[in-house]
Amino acid sequence: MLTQTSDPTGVLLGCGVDAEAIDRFETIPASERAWHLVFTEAELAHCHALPRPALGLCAAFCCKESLCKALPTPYNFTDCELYLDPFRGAQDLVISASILHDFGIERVTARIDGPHNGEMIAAVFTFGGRPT
Amino acid sequence: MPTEIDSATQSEIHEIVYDFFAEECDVPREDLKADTHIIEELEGDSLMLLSLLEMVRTRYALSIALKTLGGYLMKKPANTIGQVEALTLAIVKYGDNVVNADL
Repeated sequence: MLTQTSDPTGVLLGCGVDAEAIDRFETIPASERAWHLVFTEAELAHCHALPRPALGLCAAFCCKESLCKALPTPYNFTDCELYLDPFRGAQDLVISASILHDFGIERVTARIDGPHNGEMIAAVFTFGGRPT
Repeated sequence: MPTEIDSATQSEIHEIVYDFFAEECDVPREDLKADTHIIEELEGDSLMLLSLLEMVRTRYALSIALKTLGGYLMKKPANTIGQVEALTLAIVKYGDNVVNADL
């Protein structure tokens, strides 16, 4: 069960959920060609420093897909970063200033769960300013 | 200005798309048809589409952004091999203007 436990801040603007198979990030050399479209260099470095890099890549991809579902229009995946801490279920995402500005977002949090049955699951929540 | 697509390029794109899915999904090339559903029949996913996009970007020296592809897909979903071939042709023809093209 996913429970959003991060500090509630502002008005909930949107949410999105995604699940991906971890092994898609372990056994897909062809897909690595496209990773520069998805992950930043810093994210890739972070993931490759993890004991199981595929977990970090999969969780980050889930968050990017989830954010895509939470936003009204598409965005470039490199404008959203997750530096997975495997010991924390709820984490803030690093979002580019242009995304925050364009969509009136102040904060984006993610609830990351897994691995379960070989998959990672992420629920992403976007928040705007506090109600006046 | 859209790039003119000659018949040779059109055939090449057809081959790229079909060869790509045959290899990625480990299915015989001759089993793939225009109406083959990528997710339901081939167990494909968005990562595959990203890989194909990157292959096309490299092959035709395009700089199309991911959000442009997303914008196109909101207008015209690409669920089958034929739809992905049409998407690929549109990307090569229109580049970053694909989302505004009259499709």
